[in-house]
Amino acid sequence: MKNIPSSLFGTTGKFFSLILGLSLVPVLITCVFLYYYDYLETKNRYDTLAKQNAYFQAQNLNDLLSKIRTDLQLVADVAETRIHDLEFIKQVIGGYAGPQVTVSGMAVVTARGEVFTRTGQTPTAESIARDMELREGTRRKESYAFLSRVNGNQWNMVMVQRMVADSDTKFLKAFIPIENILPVISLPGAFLARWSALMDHEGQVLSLSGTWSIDEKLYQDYAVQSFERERMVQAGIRDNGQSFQLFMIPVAQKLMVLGLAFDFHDFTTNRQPLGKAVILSVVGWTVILMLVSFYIARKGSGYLSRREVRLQAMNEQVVEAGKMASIGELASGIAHEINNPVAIMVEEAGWMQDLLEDETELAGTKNFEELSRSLRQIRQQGRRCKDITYKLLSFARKSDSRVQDVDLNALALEISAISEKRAKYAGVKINMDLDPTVPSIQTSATEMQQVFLNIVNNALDAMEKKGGELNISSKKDHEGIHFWFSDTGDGIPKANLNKIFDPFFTTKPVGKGTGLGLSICYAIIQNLGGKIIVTSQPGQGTTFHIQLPCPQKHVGIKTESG
Amino acid sequence: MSLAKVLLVDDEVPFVETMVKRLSRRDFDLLTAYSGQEALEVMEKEPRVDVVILDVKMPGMDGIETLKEIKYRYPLVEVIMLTAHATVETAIDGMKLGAFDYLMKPAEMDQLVDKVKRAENIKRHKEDRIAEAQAMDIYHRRGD
Ligand SMILES: [Mg+2]
Repeated sequence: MKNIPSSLFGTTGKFFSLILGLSLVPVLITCVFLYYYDYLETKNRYDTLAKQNAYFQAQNLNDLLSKIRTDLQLVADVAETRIHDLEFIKQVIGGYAGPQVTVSGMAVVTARGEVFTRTGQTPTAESIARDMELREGTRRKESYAFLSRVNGNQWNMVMVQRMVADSDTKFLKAFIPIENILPVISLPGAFLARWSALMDHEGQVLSLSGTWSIDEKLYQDYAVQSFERERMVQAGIRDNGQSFQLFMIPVAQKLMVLGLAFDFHDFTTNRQPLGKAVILSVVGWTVILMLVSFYIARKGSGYLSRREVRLQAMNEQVVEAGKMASIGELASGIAHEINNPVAIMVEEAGWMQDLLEDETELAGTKNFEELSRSLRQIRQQGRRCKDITYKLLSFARKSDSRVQDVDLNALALEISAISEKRAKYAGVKINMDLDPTVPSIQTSATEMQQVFLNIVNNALDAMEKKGGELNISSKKDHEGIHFWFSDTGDGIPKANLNKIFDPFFTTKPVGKGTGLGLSICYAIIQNLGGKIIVTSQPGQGTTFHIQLPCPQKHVGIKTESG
Repeated sequence: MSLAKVLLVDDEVPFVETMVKRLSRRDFDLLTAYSGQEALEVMEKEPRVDVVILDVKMPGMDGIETLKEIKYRYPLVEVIMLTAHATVETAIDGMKLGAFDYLMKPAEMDQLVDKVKRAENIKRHKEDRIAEAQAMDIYHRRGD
């Protein structure tokens, strides 16, 4: 547009303005279309995102509770070994802090309903005993859960695990304040629900968070509906200027309903000024105004694509989270389906090897050697399949990691010490610049070790040929805890950059890497509510930036004295 | 001393067929079954089974169910669980129910043979102890 020769305005001015005037019509149509298309598209995407987000939170909640359940089983397994030993049991249950500080207290109760021991914030002895009476009917079950008001006010989910040893039955009870649950299940980085609530089967709110209050008339029916149908209920609601998408999802094995409301209004009105601006400028009369409208339309579509990119990123994040969960479920199925045929192949090869041993007259011939080598290779490759599937399984099994205070700086030093030999061999110098104010966090030491080790190993791999420097630094600021691992290797090609966290993605030669390392890191960091940001300059190097939230105020479980 | 009698239970037919050949070659007396139900039937006919190698995931009666039933009916028989996907939970379950050991498919033949032999020894040891106890019992009764 800018390159129109000025002479044209003089000689063919009329003709030119006619052309431009005519071209106004399609431009106008395009603008209206773009505006409307953008609106629909935005609405659509928003809808999907909200649904995925709601589903993810419900899944997170269920995962959290099943993790606690598994933990309780383990605690009970240990406690059962010395069931009469009060001191021992005290130690065992005192040593357990729930994931993300959701369990506020625990108690061991005898079959007669008497409190054997308790730690942390538990209800009064009478209240515990009363709960036992209430649940008399379900006593035969190994484990169960119910809702209860602790000391008459705070709603708790009580998980009970039955312990039987030496014909003595005791019950291990964990108290999970419902209000502790909502803050830890939201999806980091995604937009937040304006209203989230955990409700009982009648739609009575047990715990509430968010910036909105919604009249209970508007959601209670939906909560009951979703509870009865055992499925997610979605509703678009408009009331007194409030416009929102409501989701109701039964959670915690039909004990509660998770309700979420997302602000749809906000999102769509954001779009309108741009659309109006585009239309207004397009209906402007002068050529200059028309050029401007062209410009704005272009800018508009630029803005659109930026929006799309942003939405896409959010979308990907949600999808990614979903993908992780289903890989976990898939892993055991895959392991089973692969290991069975592989076992048959390995055994057949073994059988051929057995038979070859009988062929004494063949021994020492060239073909005999070749056959033996070939059979050995089959067995070795079988073992490789097994390794991969069991790695996959360990990826799926997140729950068997003990949570403890982990000093991340010390861990980084430890990892660099472990890697020193390899670094020396690869001609790599490791520099450390650690911020001493970085606090310890509550996590699994082995998991964090795995994250650091994987990233350091990747960096060393990248510099293996030419050598270089690996700079490890940490910092604490208002955003949280940061760790940077910068190498001076070849960098990651742009095309691969967004794939490196995908399971099974690897650039290493066949048999060298399973392509699970970084996706495991990603899953671990994501579990902690943090993120990993990778920046890479081909030819210059790569930086892995791990960002973790600062530990929240610690609601520890202390052993009750006396 | 007679050969150890091993019952191999797995729903994967070709796996069972090959394993039988390989284990027989290593001086075991092999019996086979392709389901938990069949395993119990075989054991009823042939009560002198020493060790059972038992697949965990089978259609119908699964490995854990079969293990419970075997341990209930024949407490002295040792069971080695063999599985294509071991989870901590099933491993704990199996061991709690009295399985002797837990192996993952594809298993190393040497390892399997070693475990079967150890399981058989333990079974024989238990049998001896019981025989001793019974002998004592009879002795005392005769005494009075
Ligand atoms: Mg099977």
